[in-house]
Amino acid sequence: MVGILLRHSTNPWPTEREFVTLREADTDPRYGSRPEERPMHDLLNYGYIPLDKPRGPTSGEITERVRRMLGVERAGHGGTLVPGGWGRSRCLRTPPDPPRKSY
Amino acid sequence: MGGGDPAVSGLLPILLGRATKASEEIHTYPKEYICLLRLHEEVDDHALEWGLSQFVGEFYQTPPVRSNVARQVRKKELFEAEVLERDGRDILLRMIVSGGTYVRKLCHDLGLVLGVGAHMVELRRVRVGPKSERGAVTIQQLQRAVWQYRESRDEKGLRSIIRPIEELLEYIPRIIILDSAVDAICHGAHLARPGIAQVETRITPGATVGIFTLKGEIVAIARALKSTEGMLREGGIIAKTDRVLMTRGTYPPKWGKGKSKTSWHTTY
Repeated sequence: MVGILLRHSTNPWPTEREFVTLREADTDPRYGSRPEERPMHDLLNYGYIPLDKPRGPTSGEITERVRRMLGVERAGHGGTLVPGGWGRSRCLRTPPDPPRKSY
Repeated sequence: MGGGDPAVSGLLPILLGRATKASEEIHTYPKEYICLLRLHEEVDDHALEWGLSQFVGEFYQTPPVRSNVARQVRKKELFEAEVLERDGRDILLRMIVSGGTYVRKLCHDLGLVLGVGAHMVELRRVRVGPKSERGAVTIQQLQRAVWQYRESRDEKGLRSIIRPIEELLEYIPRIIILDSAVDAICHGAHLARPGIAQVETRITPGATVGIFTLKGEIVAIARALKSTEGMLREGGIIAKTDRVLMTRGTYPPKWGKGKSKTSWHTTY
């Protein structure tokens, strides 16, 4: 009885990519690094963790836990897994500068 | 939602450091879910199929009352819906939806369409854009890898867990630029044609594009002003830099050093 499969005409996952070359160029190995060879320090700044979120805590709580565990300054998540929530971990927003008080 | 939702699990990409600047792009990716739906009254397979077909393609959704976005009707997409299993009123569904779709609301609305009412019992996210749950790590696995790294400086475990953000940006059309243009972009300059090495073919004007180095590193997220064909035909500003990910000074500054005295702000 099961076996209901409905599919829309648009494919959500793009498949092949093609490039047009405007200029042949080389890259200087002294600067930057290929993403796969990125040193650990840089990886913590330009990386992500494909986390398997457990049931229970909110996405924000999990993000904060991971952030502390790694000791990084900032962490955010790509799409809340709590229907209803949305956005970066609340505790992680950079607080605005305190207003300059002058009395 | 402060209390948390006990019944929701699955792939949650956590972006680190400057990679958080790409979170908007991840939000807009289509996502795949396995969802347990409970109907409030009996519905036969035929009616269920009809109900689902009402949502396949574009449909309209009002965000739930308790949500962090404005409660206005939004157009969402259901790319694919499959009934995996069925036990009376309990339906196990696999769905691919556009970014920002509230699956709980979709389940509720499906109940309304069927005229019997329904609610979401459990939800698991199995894919976010280019990344499927295969290779997802648990908090415990991460903890162990972090510990291993701290204790013995052995980064192998942690390296297999923390992935370069570029892997997740796989679905964003790319523009690859010359080394000499990188630092200008890092300083917020817009991208002009002389700085470009390669462009992807399917770019449309107004599309979000990723500016990448020849090594494949992300420099910035930008908005294309021209289609790929347009970029090949004419010069000028090709893309407006929106958010810079790469730290300034990663590549040496090279702008304003040409022989001509063209205005400095249109540099590449």
